[in-house]
Amino acid sequence: MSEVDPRHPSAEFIQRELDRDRKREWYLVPKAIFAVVIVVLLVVVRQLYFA
Amino acid sequence: MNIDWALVGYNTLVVVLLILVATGAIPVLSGAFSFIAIPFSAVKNHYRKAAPYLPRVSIVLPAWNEGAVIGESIDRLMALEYPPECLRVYVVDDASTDNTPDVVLAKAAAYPGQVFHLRRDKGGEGKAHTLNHGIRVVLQDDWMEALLIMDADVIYLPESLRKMTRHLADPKVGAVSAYIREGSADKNYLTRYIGVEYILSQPAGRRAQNVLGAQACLAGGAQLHTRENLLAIGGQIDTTSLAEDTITTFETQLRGREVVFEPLAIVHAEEPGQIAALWKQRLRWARGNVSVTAKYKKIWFRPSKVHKLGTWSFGIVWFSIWLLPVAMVTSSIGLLGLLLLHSQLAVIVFRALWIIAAMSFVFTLALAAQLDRKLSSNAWREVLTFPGIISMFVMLTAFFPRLTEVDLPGLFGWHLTASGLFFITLAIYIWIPFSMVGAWLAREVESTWIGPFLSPLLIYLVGYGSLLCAITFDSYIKELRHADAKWDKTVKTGRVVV
Repeated sequence: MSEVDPRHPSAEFIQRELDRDRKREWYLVPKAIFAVVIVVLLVVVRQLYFA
Repeated sequence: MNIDWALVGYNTLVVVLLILVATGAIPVLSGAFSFIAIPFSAVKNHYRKAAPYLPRVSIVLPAWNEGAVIGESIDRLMALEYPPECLRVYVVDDASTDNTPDVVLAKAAAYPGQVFHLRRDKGGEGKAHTLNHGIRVVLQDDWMEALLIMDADVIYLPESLRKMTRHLADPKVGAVSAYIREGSADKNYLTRYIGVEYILSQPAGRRAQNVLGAQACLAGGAQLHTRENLLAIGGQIDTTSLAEDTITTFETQLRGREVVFEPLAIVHAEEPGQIAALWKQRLRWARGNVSVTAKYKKIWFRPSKVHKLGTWSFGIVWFSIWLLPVAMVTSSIGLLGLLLLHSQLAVIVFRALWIIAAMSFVFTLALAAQLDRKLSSNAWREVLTFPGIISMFVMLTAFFPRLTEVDLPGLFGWHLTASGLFFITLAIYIWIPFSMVGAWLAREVESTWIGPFLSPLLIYLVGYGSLLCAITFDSYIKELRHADAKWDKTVKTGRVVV
């Protein structure tokens, strides 16, 4: 199967795509941390200005 | 010993009211728990067991009067980045009265040996019956290794099928689902809300279910089954319920096979742009879930070595969604009771409950918005107002009480009296059940002259979540009344784009 024919993706191509997608799942960690940071900021604002 | 029965009664009542209030915290905490699981997908995902695998896939595509969309759907399927010799499309024409047969027959001629037209002379029995007609045909020979069930109007991104089949390389996997993304060309406030809801429920919610090990539902428009799984669940789709997708998902897992959600296999779908159409569609889903809950009553909260549908985490997530309207009402009753008892606890409990809700809301939406940035950036108003502008005010009141009780009125030179504060507090405490009434009102006025203005305004005020809760509440009423449960197709007009 040809590497360049999108209708016939080679096993190597699919494996590379799979590895790339697996690594992409690690981006969920900083995204979750960012969401937690926003929540923490809200709590800090509450404690500093509205406690 | 003298017992002060009045005091005992008072304290008992306070405890009961506290329990009622606590029921409101369960769905909130359950949602937060699910979202906390999402980053663990970095280490607990199915990619390490997936492998390059391109099985022969038969696509069964139910169609009733889909002449406007079916031709393009077939062309796009034929253009998938997947070996064409491994693809067959079976369009099951459910006794269409438009030009669907002509369009499909033309495509069958254009793609000989790949596109097939199957005609049902008696239509209107529902999607499951239509699918079963096609499934019976594809099971007649051994060609099919995997079956893709989809809707006529959805558009698969070119790499989506390839990204789904790689999970079937693991023999433990019975089925794979894709991310159904709202893809209407002419978006309005409602389709944008649905888009946000789909981010919350799929790349967020179903990814969390991947981590927790049990999936609640395969997407009706994108579910890929192995031949073995299809045969194991009886070689057909359940026709006794309005929730055939959920039953298929449960039956797969009950037989020890995994169901995997693939967030990077993206399928665009056209969703309702009117509350009435959304209500009809979601009422069907909600009533289906009522029957699923009853049908599988013996699995809830009973852990099994075969599947994870009986785990406490899955049970709490399932019932939190299903019983959310009940929790909203009971929680408000509890708060109202505490307030009327003049218990100091009312303020403390209200703040605790709504602060938890506010933190959970901010965390879930901040995380979800990052999971589909393009869609989120186009729907930022709907992301911010998902719980409703009034509920956001309630959260602000709980989180920053001085801001809403002193600072904001002070800007206008107002000073809240004790009775004024009481009535505002009362309104805030009982707001949640009334938000469902507001959502119902939005549906009622939609078709009137003021509807195009008032319906969106009401939904922005009461929140899209309240709209979904109102529909779920309606499903309870319909089930209690044993109302006719017929399958109503959601009308599609070919508005979906990539």
